[in-house]
Amino acid sequence: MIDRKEKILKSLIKSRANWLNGKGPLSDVVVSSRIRCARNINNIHFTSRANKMELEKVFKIVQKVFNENTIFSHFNHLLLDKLSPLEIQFLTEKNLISRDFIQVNNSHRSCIFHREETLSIMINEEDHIRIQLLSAGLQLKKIWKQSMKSMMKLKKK
Amino acid sequence: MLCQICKKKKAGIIFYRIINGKKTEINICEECAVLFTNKLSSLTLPQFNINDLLIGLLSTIDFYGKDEDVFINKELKCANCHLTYEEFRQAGKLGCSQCYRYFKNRLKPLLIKFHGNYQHNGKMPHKIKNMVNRLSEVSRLKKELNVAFTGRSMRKLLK
Repeated sequence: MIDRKEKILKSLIKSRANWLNGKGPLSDVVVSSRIRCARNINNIHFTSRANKMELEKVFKIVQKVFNENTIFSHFNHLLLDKLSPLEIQFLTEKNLISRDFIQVNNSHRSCIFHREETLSIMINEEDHIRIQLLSAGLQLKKIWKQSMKSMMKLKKK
Repeated sequence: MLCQICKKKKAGIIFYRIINGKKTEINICEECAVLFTNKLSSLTLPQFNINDLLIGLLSTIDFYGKDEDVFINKELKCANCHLTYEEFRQAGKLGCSQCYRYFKNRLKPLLIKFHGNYQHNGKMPHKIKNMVNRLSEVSRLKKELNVAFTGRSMRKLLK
């Protein structure tokens, strides 16, 4: 998946995020809704204190879930260490990763995101795992339920 | 305090910047703040930062808090990740899950300011749910026992 970096980025340039379609509930007053959930794996230092091995461990755990679970078949995976500053900036502008994600100097940072750009998972940001969901209009309850589902899938592994 | 840039007008705005865990503070006036923010790139434009808020609250607790222990025991350290309380004050970030245990007394007023409570009552993993419930039940019963015991002692004293 990671080898397809160029292809993924090219498709991102062409595509428009689904949450920008302006069709959600109350879209005349609410542009988009966003929920972020942060989780840390037990017995591993938080990213600010974790060493390279621990960060790699977090990365491998999430990568394993990503590779083995069919729900991630419509997702892309990008390693931030393999991206240029401009490409990272592009992901930030697409709201797939946070600005803090650029500034944290952790190794094994990566981002998993849905092709429709509605769900993204940041690995080794300020927390081990950060799930972000975006939707058009006011749909907080709906995306909260979705984020919990994604979280449960990760927890089971 | 005078503005640290123009050194003429009264400073009314404080900028906090944390780079590699080091906090810098600049006190500036409104006019210089406009020039200052214009100089910053779009990536570093001042935005709401939870860590800055946390650091601000921590300093308030240190200045105005009644807990004198905060001043005395600044060398307090987490035995798991070796993060000191002072480092936490500077960066506003904890190092591991054990930090909550080692800095418990100092985190309590902060969490109460943030969330109104220091105990998590919301969603939690199913694996630990029973254990957490049992622990909170034990804690509640201990408190009740303590209250009952104090009451009984008081009654004895009154006799």
